[in-house]
Amino acid sequence: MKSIMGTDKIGGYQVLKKLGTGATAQVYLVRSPEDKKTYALKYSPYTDRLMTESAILESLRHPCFPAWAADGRAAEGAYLVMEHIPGITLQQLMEQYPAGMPERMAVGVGLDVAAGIAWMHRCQPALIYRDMKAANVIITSEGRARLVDLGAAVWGEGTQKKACRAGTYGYSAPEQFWEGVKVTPACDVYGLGKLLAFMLTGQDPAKPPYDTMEYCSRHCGIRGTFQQMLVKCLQPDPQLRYPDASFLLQELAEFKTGKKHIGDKIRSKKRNTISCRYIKCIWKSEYERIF
Amino acid sequence: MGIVSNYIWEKGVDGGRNPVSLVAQQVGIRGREICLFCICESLQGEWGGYMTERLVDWFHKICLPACGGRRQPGPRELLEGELYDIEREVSDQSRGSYGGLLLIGNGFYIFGKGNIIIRLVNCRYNRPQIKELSFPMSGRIQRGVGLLLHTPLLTEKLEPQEICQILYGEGRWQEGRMDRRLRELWQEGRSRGNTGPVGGIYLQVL
Repeated sequence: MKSIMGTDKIGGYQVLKKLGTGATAQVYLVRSPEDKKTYALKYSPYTDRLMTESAILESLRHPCFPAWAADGRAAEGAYLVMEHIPGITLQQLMEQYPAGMPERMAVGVGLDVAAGIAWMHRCQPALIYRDMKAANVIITSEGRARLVDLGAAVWGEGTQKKACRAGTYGYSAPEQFWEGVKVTPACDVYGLGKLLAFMLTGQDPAKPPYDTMEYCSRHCGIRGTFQQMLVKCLQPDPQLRYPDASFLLQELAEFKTGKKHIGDKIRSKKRNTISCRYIKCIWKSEYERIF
Repeated sequence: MGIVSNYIWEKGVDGGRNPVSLVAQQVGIRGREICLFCICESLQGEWGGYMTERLVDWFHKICLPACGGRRQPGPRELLEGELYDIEREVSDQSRGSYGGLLLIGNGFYIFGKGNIIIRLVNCRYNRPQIKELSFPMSGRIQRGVGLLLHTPLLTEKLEPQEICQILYGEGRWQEGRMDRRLRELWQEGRSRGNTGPVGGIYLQVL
């Protein structure tokens, strides 16, 4: 297998196959010449950006993220070697659940992802993931969810400039697309809310209708407590959301243990909205929304 | 009454952009199904993509709340208004063709413009029949019938009876099998020289 540079080796690592292509990088499955283990190698011509990602990944030691192995410079770019996580993406898994996955399963995935994000938010200064989406969540054969691609992650709560806007429309918080607005951990809370809504309803937030709150409020599969949690995550105003992922992690953990179920029935009776059962929501097009 | 549906959306052999955009939305409210199916074809798929995006938005934000009660105007009038608005937004040159179906319970409304084909496959009797529908059209749908919405290229070189034969068969109700039948239809056309991009939706009323 040859890499994008036309060679079968990058930085001494034997290229076995291509795993994927992103907007700025390619990911390969490689074998190390030293320990003969397989790794995932990310190659990008944007050296500075990849080196920042490498520094972030090296500083993160959490089971939710792939373990950092090495980095270096190759011809006209740089590479980052990390643990290879075999499995399928959450996006691929969701194809089997067009009307949403069972609540227990969604809470399990949500807990794993929220734990990783909460860990990032606890760093000093806080790390912000910024690109939460189903395609960045890998479900392993053990059923655990792990996060990959820290290419959009940033240190601290800096002011956003035009050049460093990142995210996926539909998943990313509105302030991520505005200029001169502070990016806070609440951005990731919004992304997590969208991810949870996707898992429960089967409606891809990156596809129309992008407004998740609209259909979450009607979805019969989402219980009252969960709905309140989602509404709090998906507030357009960052100050009205959970301040960081640790709050959401706690809520999800309480939900899983059953502490949050009391009163659901009473609340659902009081609701005065139409209850919908989403059966299928498909939108296929190559059209891209321009912002 | 239940609806099973599946779709085919394939690029041509040149691997370029697919100019076809399609939408299939099925939601159950108070025991009845509200469905919106639509196919759009336009240059580079831009207008079609925008139109389907607007229709999905309309379906969730306007149609579903309107279906919850006895409000006036009804979903059909609301849809006509939305289509008028979408068409008015773009120039004549960039517009494409579209064809769709709005299904509320057993009431249907077929809408469209241009060369999108909508066929009715009647499987209620031993000998299935197929006929092309004109739009706009409204009425009540019956159990056992199927509807095929597609771009002209999907069935260009196939006879109506051949289409019927491919779509109609044992176990036709299951979605997995519907996918296989649609693929069979596309491959049959491809073997006869249709190598362009295609899109199609097939739905069966149970």
